[in-house]
Amino acid sequence: MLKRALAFLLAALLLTLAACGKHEGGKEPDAGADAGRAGENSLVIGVAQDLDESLDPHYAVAAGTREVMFNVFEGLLKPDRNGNLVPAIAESVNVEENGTVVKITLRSGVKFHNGATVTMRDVLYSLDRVRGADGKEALLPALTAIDTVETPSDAELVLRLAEAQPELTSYLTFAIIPADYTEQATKPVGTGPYRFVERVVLERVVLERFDDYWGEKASIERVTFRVIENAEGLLLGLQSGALDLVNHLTVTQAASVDKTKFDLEEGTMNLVQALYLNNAVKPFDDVRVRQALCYGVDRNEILSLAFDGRGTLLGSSMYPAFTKYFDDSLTNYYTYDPAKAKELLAEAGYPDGFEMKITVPSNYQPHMDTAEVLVQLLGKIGVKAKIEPVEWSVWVDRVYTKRDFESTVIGVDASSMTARAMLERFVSDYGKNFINYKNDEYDRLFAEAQNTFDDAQQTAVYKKMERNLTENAASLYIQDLADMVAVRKGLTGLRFYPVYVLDVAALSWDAQ
Amino acid sequence: MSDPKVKKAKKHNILLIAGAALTLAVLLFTFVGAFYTPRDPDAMNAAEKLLPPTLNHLFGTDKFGRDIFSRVMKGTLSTVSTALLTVLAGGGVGILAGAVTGYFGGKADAVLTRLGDTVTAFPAVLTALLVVSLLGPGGWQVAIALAVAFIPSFMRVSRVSFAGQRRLPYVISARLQGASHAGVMLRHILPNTLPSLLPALTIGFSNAVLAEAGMSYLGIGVTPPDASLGYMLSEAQGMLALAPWYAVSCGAVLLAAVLGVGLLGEGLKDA
Repeated sequence: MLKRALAFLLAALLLTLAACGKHEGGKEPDAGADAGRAGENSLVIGVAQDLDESLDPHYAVAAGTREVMFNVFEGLLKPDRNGNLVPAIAESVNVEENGTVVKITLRSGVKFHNGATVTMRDVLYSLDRVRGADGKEALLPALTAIDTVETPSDAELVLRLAEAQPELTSYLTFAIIPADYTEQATKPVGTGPYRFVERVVLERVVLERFDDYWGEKASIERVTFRVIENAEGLLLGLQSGALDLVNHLTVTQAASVDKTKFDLEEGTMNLVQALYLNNAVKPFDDVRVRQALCYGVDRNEILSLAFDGRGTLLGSSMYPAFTKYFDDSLTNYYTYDPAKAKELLAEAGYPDGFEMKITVPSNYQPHMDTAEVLVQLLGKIGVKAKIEPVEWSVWVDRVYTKRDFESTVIGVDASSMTARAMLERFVSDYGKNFINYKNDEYDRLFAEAQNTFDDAQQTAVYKKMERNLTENAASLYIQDLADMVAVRKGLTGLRFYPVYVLDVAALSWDAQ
Repeated sequence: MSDPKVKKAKKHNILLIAGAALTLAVLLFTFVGAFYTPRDPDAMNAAEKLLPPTLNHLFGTDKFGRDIFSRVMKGTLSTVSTALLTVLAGGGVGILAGAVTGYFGGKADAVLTRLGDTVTAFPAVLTALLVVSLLGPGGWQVAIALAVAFIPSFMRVSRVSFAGQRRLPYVISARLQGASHAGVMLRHILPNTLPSLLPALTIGFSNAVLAEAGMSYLGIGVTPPDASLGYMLSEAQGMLALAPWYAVSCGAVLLAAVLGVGLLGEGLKDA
């Protein structure tokens, strides 16, 4: 409330002055704003949403949380920028005996941020926690495939599986945390190149370089992630010198970034942006209605109107960075055909269209822009859509957790580099199936994929699942967004990953 | 009348005339906007994004290629109508409550006045936010929310006027002639309170315009893609360097509406 009052004061000031841009900040040292914080070797990054309430890596839900905490936590393996898994806390991971045995050797001398050395006990604690062997819910159901765990020595871990699991190693990226440490939610401790310093809810998260890091140490000493849940605020932060780096900008936003102070880099966001439809509520429980929306919306118009033509069209719940699983033939499964859309709507009993509500997290400008264009395009086939902007926390609670919504525009990403991470969420009884997708064939295919131990065959089954989502129009799949990143000049090393992370350890200020 | 007073009256007339002219212009703009806009305010066009003002697009176009002039017309309509509704509802209830409490005094007066003071203790917009969080965002919800928030300010002005007049000889003589309380309040006192009530209403109106714009600026008033001045301003703010005409055109119309009514009220006060 207080924040809103402040925001209003600011707004009132702005309105009376006929919108003279003025930034609320000024807290950050502004000296030499053009050089950013190169002198003190620190960095301020603007993020559009606050992190999850709990920072416990095993419970984190939001992509935005993983993006930040990627720098704090590591698993036995971790993804590199090409999507390969490289050893982290493990020194080596070997899959033997046709995939039924995974032999892991721990790296020696890896330190936690609290100074303790990572021991087999910590690894087992973390493993049991995510696979549900501690008696609680399995946080990573994929790891329940592990039959027995053996520790031949203090540095060797052997996982035995009843059947081979081609994807199992991809899940060995779960964070290793200190055994029996209970304050993970508020004072997280990991092994990554940065250690957690403090968090002020809705304001900032501060990380500091971890000098006992086992691998190549980070360059920048102190990194602050400033939460600015307002697209304009992020841009003003860049202009005023309060921020050094902002990612996930839209093309329009990027266009107004001062190019004399910032470089613009373009990657992909690696997520599936869609108009996600709640398959359990009317009228979206009728497949014809969902298909009508897919036929009735010209997705190229969305790209050209809201994103200057940038972005990659998608036709299912998979994005191109997953080269192995991505099926481009689904991209244009539904060609723009308003006549057919109206026909399908009439068949479904809505000859004059219907009214619908799109719930959108208002802090994400790309999703808001997409929704605004969607309203326009849906109007052409007689569907009267209304936007309901909500705050991020409300979105997580109402849409994602309680599934109390009609439709929403959001991007869904993968927490690990597996097809399962993208596709399991639409299995009818899966806990995070927020669109309430219910398709027996899909459930059967997923079970089949889990029991297929040949990589090529499993990939084929996953592709069938993608096709199932497309054919049944589970949602109106739109695009993988272009990721525009504004980076202050002098700051180098930005890397794009095929997963949704921001690798701060790779960044450094040019020597001055 | 002495000379200085004549001079003063003349100066006020200028305020009144300027205010009336500006207000009339804004109202005309609003009224026309209700029935006619040069372009479809919602039509997007990828080929005409962020164009500077030309004869085709008087105020230029926005990031979706929509005609800003048409959107400003629609936005002004929603802002002004919300503000009018706010003043009618808030003013109606507030003035009535103030009249009753001021005229009769007593316990009801004490209770209602304290209640009003309590509401006033919260900034008007916070009260409005609370109401919106109960009713949900949207145009008429904002009008109700603001009306509730504005009631105490009208109530106070009207209470003071009525309390001040009720012991005056003309009121007492009207009562002695057998006029009812309602009759006295409506026919005798109300006309005499107009000099203080009218400015209160006009100031209330310009506050309501600003508050509505402020609330849509924060994204809790009119929701996109419907046009509203506040939301457009917040959008324009991020593109100040890229499309300055966007912020300027929305801001200018908003300024004209607030300034016009403000001047009008100022002129009325001593006219």
